[in-house]
Amino acid sequence: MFQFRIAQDGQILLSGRLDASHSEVAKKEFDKITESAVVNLRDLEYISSAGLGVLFAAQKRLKDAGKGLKLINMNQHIRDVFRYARFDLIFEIE
Amino acid sequence: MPSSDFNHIEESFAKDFLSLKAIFEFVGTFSTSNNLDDSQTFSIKFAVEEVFTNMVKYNPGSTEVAISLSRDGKNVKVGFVDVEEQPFDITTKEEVNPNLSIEKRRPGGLGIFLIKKLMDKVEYAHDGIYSRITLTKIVE
Repeated sequence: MFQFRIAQDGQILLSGRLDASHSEVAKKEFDKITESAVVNLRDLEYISSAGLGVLFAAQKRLKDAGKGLKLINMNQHIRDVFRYARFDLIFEIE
Repeated sequence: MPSSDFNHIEESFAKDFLSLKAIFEFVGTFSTSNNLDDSQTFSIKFAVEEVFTNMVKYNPGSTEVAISLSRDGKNVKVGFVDVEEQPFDITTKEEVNPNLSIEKRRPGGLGIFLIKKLMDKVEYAHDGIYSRITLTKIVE
C-alpha cells in the first residue's frame, strides 16, 4: 500500500511502501507539483530505486524552475539509502 | 510449489511488479523466523526488489523467477534463478557516480549500485539457460 496526500498546510504526506509497483502512481502525483514543497516521510516505511527515481525526477524538474522539495521525518533505513545514493546532495533533508 | 524449512525457503513468483507484495511477505516470513532486525530486513527487501524488477524489466522471455532465502550461521543468502538467453551480469554493470550534481546525474543504475552497498556479496552465474544471482548479507 502506498498513499500520496496533501495536508491542509500544504505538506505532501507519503505513507506505506514506495516500490516499483507504486512508482507510476507516485510519478503522476508528483508531476502535478509545480511549486516548492515539503515532503513528510514520517509514515513512509520503505522506498526502492523506483521511488528514488520519482523523487529525483520531480526535484530535477523543480530545480530547473528555481524551486525544490524539502524532505522531512524520514526513517533511519530510508535515510541510509539516501546517504548511500548521495541524495543528501540533491535534496534538503531535515 | 513453495518449499520451506526453518533456515531455507523458496518460491516462484510471476514476473510482474504486482508480485512485489507477495515477495515482501515471503522475505518478512524468513526474517521473522531467523530473528533478523529491521535494518537487515530492509536491506534484504530492497535488494530483492531491485534484482526482481531488473529481471521483470530486462528479461521478458520467461514468466517466473524462483527466489530462495537461506541462512547458514551469519550468512543470509538470497538466490534468484531465471531463464535467460542473453547473460546480463549485474556485477559488471558500470556503476553510477553518486557524487555528480543534480544537473549531471541521470536516472538509472542506482538500484544495482545500492544493492552493492546494502549487501555484502553479489554473485552472478549463467549456464547457457539459467541466470543465477546470489546475494549474501552477513548478519550478527
